[in-house]
Amino acid sequence: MNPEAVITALNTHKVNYVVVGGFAAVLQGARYITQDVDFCYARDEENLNNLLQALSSFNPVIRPNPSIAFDLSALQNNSNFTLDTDAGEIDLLGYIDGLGDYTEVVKRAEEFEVRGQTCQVLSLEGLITSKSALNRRKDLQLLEELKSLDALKKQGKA
Amino acid sequence: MITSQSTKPSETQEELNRLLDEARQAGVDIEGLKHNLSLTPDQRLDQFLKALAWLEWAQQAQRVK
Repeated sequence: MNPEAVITALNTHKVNYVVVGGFAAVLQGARYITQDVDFCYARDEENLNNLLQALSSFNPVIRPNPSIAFDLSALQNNSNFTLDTDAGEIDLLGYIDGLGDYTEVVKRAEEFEVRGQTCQVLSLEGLITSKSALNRRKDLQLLEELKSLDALKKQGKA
Repeated sequence: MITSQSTKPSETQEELNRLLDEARQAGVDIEGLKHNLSLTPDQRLDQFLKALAWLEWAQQAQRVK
């Protein structure tokens, strides 16, 4: 897994994206371990083309249908993808439950600098809202961690 | 007015303490989270990548077994 390389490529190609999901939780301080990196991305055509160019060097293959090409047509017809890439598993999300599309998600993002790269990362509050909306058993432990991180940050400010 | 200003933060603090106590009882590593909050994003990433490498090593060892 090489999230730094992916973030660098997304920035180089001026992709509009927000780091979301478990990896955003890690950057926010969670002790969670995830084997993929989730991004919410803008779905205008220019951004889709930039996204394709950014990811092309990682040889993305759509899971579970490797026979379907990951191209503009695929991106126009679907918004959510799980990709196997040379940099690890990447989830692309055009829409986040509980939050909405990129334009809504980016409003709940915070700017982080990771390995010298600036990126938008979903806030703790945004992560809590999205994980609560999913209501999945597998997210319960992470949700507890996120709420605790939020409380610790507020405690520091109170 | 002064009373309201001085009690509100302590009420909030109490609520936060209660939430953290409940989380601790539910198995959340509060001290670990406090430590993580003291780290920079780069340090959090380093820590995560190390933990992930151990997990992947353990998964591979399990498969070999």
